[in-house]
Order: sequence, then C-alpha cells, then structure tokens
Amino acid sequence: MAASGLATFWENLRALPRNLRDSLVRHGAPSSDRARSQAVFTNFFLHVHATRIHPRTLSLTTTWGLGVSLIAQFVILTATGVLLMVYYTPSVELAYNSIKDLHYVVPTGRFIRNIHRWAAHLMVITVILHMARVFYTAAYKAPREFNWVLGMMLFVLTLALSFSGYLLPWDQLAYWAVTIGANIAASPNELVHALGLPAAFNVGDLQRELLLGASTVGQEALTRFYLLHVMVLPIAMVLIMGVHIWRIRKDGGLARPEGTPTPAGKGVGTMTPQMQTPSSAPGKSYGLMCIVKGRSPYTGQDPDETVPAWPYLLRAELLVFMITMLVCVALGLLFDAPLKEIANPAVPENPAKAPWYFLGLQEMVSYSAFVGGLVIPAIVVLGLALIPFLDREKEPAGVWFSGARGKRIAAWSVLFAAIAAVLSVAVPVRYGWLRNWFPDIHQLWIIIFNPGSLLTVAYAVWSLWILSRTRSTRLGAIALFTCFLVGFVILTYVGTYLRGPNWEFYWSPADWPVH
Amino acid sequence: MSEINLPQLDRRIKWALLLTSLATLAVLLASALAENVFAPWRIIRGRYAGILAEKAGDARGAALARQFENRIVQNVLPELGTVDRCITCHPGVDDPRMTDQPQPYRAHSGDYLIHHPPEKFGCTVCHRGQGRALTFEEAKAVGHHWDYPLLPPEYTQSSCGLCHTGPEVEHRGGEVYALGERLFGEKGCRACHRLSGRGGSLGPALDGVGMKVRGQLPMAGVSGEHTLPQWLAEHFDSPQRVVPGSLMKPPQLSREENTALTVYMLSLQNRDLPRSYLSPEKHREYYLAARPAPASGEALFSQFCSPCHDTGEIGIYDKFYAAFAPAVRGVAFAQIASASYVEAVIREGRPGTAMPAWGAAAGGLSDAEIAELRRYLLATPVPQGSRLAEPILARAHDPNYRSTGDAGRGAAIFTRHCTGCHGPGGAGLLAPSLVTSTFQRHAADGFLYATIAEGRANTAMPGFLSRGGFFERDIEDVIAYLRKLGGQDRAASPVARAQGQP
Repeated sequence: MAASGLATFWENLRALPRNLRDSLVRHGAPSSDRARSQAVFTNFFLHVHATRIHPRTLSLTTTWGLGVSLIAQFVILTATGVLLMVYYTPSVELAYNSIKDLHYVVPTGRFIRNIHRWAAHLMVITVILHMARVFYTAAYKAPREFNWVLGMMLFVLTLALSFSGYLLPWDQLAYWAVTIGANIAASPNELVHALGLPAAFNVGDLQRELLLGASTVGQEALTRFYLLHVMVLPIAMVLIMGVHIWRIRKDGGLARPEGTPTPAGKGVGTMTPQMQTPSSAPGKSYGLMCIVKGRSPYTGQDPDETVPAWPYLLRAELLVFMITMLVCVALGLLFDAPLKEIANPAVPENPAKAPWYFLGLQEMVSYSAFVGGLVIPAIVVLGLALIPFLDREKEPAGVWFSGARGKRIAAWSVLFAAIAAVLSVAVPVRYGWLRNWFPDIHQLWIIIFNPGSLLTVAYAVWSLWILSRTRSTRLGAIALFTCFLVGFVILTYVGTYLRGPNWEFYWSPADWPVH
Repeated sequence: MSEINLPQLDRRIKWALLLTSLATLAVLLASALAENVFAPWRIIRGRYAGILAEKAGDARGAALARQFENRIVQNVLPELGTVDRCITCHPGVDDPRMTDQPQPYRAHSGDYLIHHPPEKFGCTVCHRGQGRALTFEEAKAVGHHWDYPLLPPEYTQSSCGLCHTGPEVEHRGGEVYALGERLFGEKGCRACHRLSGRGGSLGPALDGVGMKVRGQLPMAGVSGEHTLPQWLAEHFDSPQRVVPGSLMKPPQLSREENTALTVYMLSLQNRDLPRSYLSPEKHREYYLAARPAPASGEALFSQFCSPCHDTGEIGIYDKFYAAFAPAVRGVAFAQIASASYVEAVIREGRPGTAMPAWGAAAGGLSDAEIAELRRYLLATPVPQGSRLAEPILARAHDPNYRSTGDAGRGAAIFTRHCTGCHGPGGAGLLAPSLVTSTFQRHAADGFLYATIAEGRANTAMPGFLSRGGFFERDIEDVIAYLRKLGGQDRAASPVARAQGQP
C-alpha cells in the first residue's frame, strides 16, 4: 500500500511538467489547420479571432493594421504607465521632482517615460488614421453602425487620456495647457456675459470646478487628473475596446465587398458551420452556434474562401505589434520627452498652448472659447457619430472611397476644405475680424460669427451641396469627413507652428519676439 | 482587386516579423548600453578611479582606489530642499590631492569646503544648477528648462549672503559680496527700491529679486545668455536698453562694481533657510532689520535721499527726470521750514513728484528716524550773510499768520511769474507741484510767504519781494490763489486747526 502510494506519487511528480502544461493549454501543440482552428476557438486569448478569415484581411491595404497597432499602443502605454506609477507621486510638491528622478536616475526611467509620451502621441495620430480608414472603406455601414459609434467613444477617450496625462509632470507646459483646457470648460460663461444673464447661470464655473476641484489648477486638479488617467479612463477604454473588437466578429469580420476573388483552393480545407463544432465538445455547443442569428461569422459565405486565422492572421498581428513596438522604442531612444520648468502660476507661458491635437480647437478658441472649444467640437463629434445613421446606402463595403467617383469627390473636398481653412486663418490675420471693423459691436455677434463657426458652416454647406448634386448620401458623407480631416490638419498646423506670443501670427517661431 | 498570393504574403510577413523583432532588440540593447555602459558619469568615475590609483602613495591608498565604486552618489538635504548628485562626477572636490587635476576631477578652490562640508550643504545651495541631473549640460541647465541655472563663477559669492553678512566674509573669501553689499548702501539704491520694508517706491522692491526666473524678466534687450545674472549685469550697464522706458538712472559702475552689485542682487533670495545654517552675524542682521537702531541723520540722508538731492545744499536740476530736486539742506530752507512740515513731507512724500513717502507704512522709516533726518536737514549751518531778515523769519514761523489776499488777482500774478517753472495751475513742471495734498496741508502760509518773498538761496527759486518787484500784497494774493488751487477746506486743515481759526 505504502509502496504503491509512493510509486503513484513518484509517477505524478514525473508527470508534473506535462500535466501542468496540459492543464494550462488544454490542447497540445496543434499540428493541423483544423486543430489550430479549434485552439483559436477554445483559447481565451485567441477566441476574439474568427477561426478562419478571409485572406483579404491579411493584405496591407485593407486596414493598414491600424486597429491592431492601436491595441499594441494601448498595451505599450499600459505597461510603461504602470512602470511610471512605481515612481511617480501625484502631489504638487513631489510630482515634478519624481519625474526628474525618473529622468535622471531611475533605471530605464528616461526610456520608459519617453516611450510612454511618444506612444501617447502616436496613439492620437493612429486613432485618427484608423477612423479615416474605416470611413473611407465604408466599413461603418449596416450592420456596423454601432461599432462606428463605439469607435467615436474610443477617439474621445484617447484624447481624454492623453490630455489628463498632460498635467501629471506638473511642469509649465502641463500647468498652462490644462489652465487653457479648464478655461474652455468655463467658456459657457462667455455666453452668459454676452447675454447679460445673472451670475447664477454661470454653468461654466461649475464645469471648471468639476474638472479642477477648484477655480485654478492645483493639487485638487492633479489628484483628479491622476485618478482619471490611471483608473477611470483606462477602465472605460478597456471595456469599450473589448466591445469594439467583439462587435467586429459579431458583425461579420472585416468589411469586404461581396464576391471578392480569392485564392481558394489548395491547402485550404472546406469548412462548414457544422464543422466548427469540435468533435470532442458536447452537442450543446452546436446548439449555441445555431442561436447566433444572421450575423454569425460564416453565414452566407463560402467557407472555401477562407484561410485559418492561425498561423496567418496571428503572424500578421504579431508583425503589426512588433512594428509598433519598434517605432515606440526607437522614438524613446532617440528623443527625450519634453519637461519644462516646474509649474509656476506667477509666470504664464506665452504663448500658452494646449497639446498639439487641441491646437486646431485653440485656433478657433482664440475667437470664442464657447463656440470654438465646446459647440464646434460637440457638433463635430456628434456629426461624425451620426454619419452611419444618415448614410444608409447599400453599397459594397471595403472599397476605398467607394470607387472612382468617391475618389474624385474626396479630392475636390480636399481642395475646398483647404482653401476654406486657409481663408479662415488668413482673412482675420490680414484684415482683422468683426471687433476690428466695428469696435462697438456686441460680443454676441462675434460668438456667433467667427472664422471657426463660419468654417464649420461652410463645410456643412459643401457636403450638403455634394449630397444634393450627386444624390448620394455616401458621397455627401465623404465630402463632410474629408473637410473635417483637412480642417483638422490645417488648423492644427497653424496652431502649432504659426502662432506665437499672444496668439499672433508668425511665419516661424524664429520670428517670435524675444521675451 | 488583385488576387492575393497567400504563400508569398505569408513569407513576407515572416521576414518582416524577424527583421522588426531584431531591430527592436537592437534598440533595447542600445538603450541598455547607453544607460549602463556609456553613461557619461560612469566613464568619468571610471577615469577618477584611475587617478586615485595613480595618486595612491601606499598600499592603503591603492586599496581605497580599488574600492572606489562606480555608482551614483548624492547629498539629499531635506532641510534645504535639495538633492545634489554633483559629487557623482566631481568625486574629488574634498580631496586636497586633486588640486592639480582638470575638471571635473579637481578639488574645490579655497577653504570653502572646510566650513561648508558637502554632506551638510550640498552644492546647489551656493552654485545653483540642477543638482538632480547627471550630465554637465543638464546640471548647468542653461536653456534646459530649469529655473535656476548654474551660476557663472564670478557670481557664486552671491550665495555667501544667504547666511553671512558682508563685513563677516569680506576677508574670508567673500570680498565681492561684501563690496556689493557696501555699494548697495553707498549708491543709495534704497532711494527708489524697497528692501526688507525700507526704501523708496519709485522702482520695484528688491526682496527675492535673486530668485527671479527667466519668464519674469524682459529678455528682449539682453545680448548675452538669457539668465538672471546676465540680465542684472546688462541692466546695470544700461537700464533703458534692457527695460525700455525704465526710470532708473544708470548707476555708473566699473566692471568690478557691476559684478559686485549683481552678486548682491543675486543674494536677495528671500529663502526660508533653516536657522541653524545662518551665521550669528546674519541672525544679528535680521534682528537689527526688525528693530532698527536709530541711525544718524547723515547716514539716513546718504542712504535714502542723496541719489536725488545729492548733498541737499543746492537745488539740483536732474536731467534724467527733467525736474529740480529742492535744496532740502539749503540755507534758506533750514531757516524757514518748520519741524512739523519737514517731517510731514518726509513721512508722506509729495504725490505727483518723484518724492516718495518714507513713513513706516511706505518707505519703512520709523518716526524716530524721520525726526533724526529732520534734525539733520534743519541743522544746516547758516552763514551770517545768508541770514534772513527778522520780520520774515518771524512770519515764517508764526502759526497764526494767514494770508488775506485776493485769489483772482493772485491767479494773474501766478500765471505771469510762476507757471514757467511750477507749471500751469501749479501742477509742477521743472519745479515741484504746489497743489498736492501733502504740500497744501502741511505748508503754512508763513512758510509760503517767506519762500516767495526771499526765494531759496542756491536754487532756481528767486526771491520776489527782494528782487522780483513784488509788493507784499502781491505775495498774499498768490498765496490765496495757491490755497484755492489746493481746493482746501481751510476750516478742516491742520494748519487752520493749529491756528485756532474757524
């Protein structure tokens, strides 16, 4: 008894590594396409993928890998962010010095912080590119409308995450950028003052106090931004991101035109929905698959067109991840993240600039904080979110610009949007604006009629005109979205490079008056 | 859409994956090497270990050289709020054998470190700069987004003043600071600038000026490095070039004096250093500043008044301000001015002119000091030939004398004879304003009478009775006009009350 008990124990001990592995990864290393598909289906981390995908998914020009790159950036940001949290202290006395120490003495601190900063900027750029890709390939069309809305939420969350992280180093850049942000939050006051309403209507003050916990940027604001940056916003991001990815599968994988030619054929086994049920799995699973209605990954499609996700898709995703990683670490090695003097409420930065992705808004804010900072962004975000619901034309998804006509419309829109945006900057710079022409004019007129609001109206009118001329909501949407993109790029460029002290126009920062 | 060649695509992906992975590894490796092998401080400390071994005279020294660790060393001084890692790259600062070495290995100059051990004082409290940094450029921190860059060596003595007084360090390595402190008094800077609550209000107060940061200074006119010391030095050379429209007279300093005064300015830091760091003399200075011992009138005059009034014996036309500064120690003034008038003008100043208020709430002079100053002004010796006639003197000091002239007639006379200097309506031009409230309230009619009648010897103010062809009646009319100009309700005025009249 004792001997056999010992023998069993010895056997178990010897089998320990194998059993550990088998309990961890229930299937062995899969050796056939079918086994790999099963693995993808049953593995927690892999099951967000379809077991089989269309080979078109692998092609670079289909998605440019932007969505996967964003996930990679989010992972990189989370990893570096957690490492930064080890040393960072969110207090106005210690924050700046803890960043300095991270920079100078904490092992790999400078590298990690650089990666975090550049990956954050990269993420904002990539989100916009991803949005443009999805838009121009019409991938927001039914049944993917809601996923577009989720994407808009992720866009706003990305900006919020980046902005909340901006304050944490507690340097001059952070302090004054957030002061501008807070003043924009307080800008409804502008309307209240212009209309001469009593102070009780100052919603702006309330908004600013909610954001800062005080009337100026201080410890309360730092605590709030820290909390938002490391907890609230990332959790919201992960949740929505999960739903966003899940919806891609539930909405039938990547959008692609019907009847796309495929290699089909050799090496690609047939796969019917019935065959997806692993042979060893209980019959109930099959029933579950039947419950999934209409939009299950393979309904109405010829399984012959597909290739297994493992290894093809996984390898491509890994490649995108590595490219993203390489860009981030290379930037981190070559360029130091900025850190200015310690925050000093007595010494305003001039010009005080928001983070670059808000400089287009700041350009409009320079006329009216309320319209430029709240109304127009709200209209833009709302307008973009509603595009899939207003453009319901059935046409092949997955085709860039929906064909040659769309390309032409997009090109004309680039031209129109660029001219309008340049005019919206050039006219006030050269000739001044209402206040210069009619010094006694009521502020309300400027709040309503300013270059920012006129530009927005011009873009809206242009796309409605395209819409009515082409009788296509899709083409109208292309016009509108192109205008938004071009306006964003041009105004951001102007705000970043052509605006100096007192938000005056300069051709180059070298011309700024020395202070 | 072209057909997808799956095997070819997959092969490309594999290769790209391999290349990006290798490249990422290479970047990580480069980063690790840059930080752990090629960090400048590691190289410097490595070389220093070699120097130590070279200098080792015996086995014990050689053993010490071998034990020299290649790691970051720092002085963390919570009391001073500093973390100084400078000694990481300057390990030889307190090693007397290292006087012949080049920087960064050289020993500290002088005997400063004997009295100021780095473990207690660190480095940046005297030298400024970014103590946390580990490369020279970042430690020097000029243009590196740090509020207090490394002081150029010629200005380092400014930090003596944080804990010491000028006389205390004058012959002990602080001669530049001592000279600066002395110049600050001698040049009469306090005539326009307040410091620790004492001084005029024409210029900005100087408390904490040594801690100003770049963003607080107009740098457009500064030709050198855009730092506080450079700003101060160029500003002393030419205030108007650095601060357009500045009211400050160029202080006319030699190169050495300029450096010394800049050093003194840099020492004005208003920092809350732990009391244990201050020398007994510095404690005494603070104590005395809070309870000033009555200084002599002469000393007060030279410190607070002489930049404008010079010796005070003659009326001075100040080209810079395009105005006359009255001869406050002139023979005429000393005879006719009353003690209460002089003290009132010192205390309250003459608003609308360059003369600021010097009372405790403004310029920081105590009543005792103002009285001392008044005694000094009025004690001017009067030579026999300059004595005013007895009746005039009697009227000047007669509290009951009150002009009964005709203001309308006085206006005509004033316009003809007085506006040339005192400006239309007496508002002040080259000569002081006559309508300001302080003047109107405190100058008695007798004082005005004596001034107009006899003028002020050694100033531009002529005597109108003796030489100007006025009759007594004319003078009374002018006084009446002046009172009307002041818009003064005589019933409520101190003069009127002193005169006991309704």
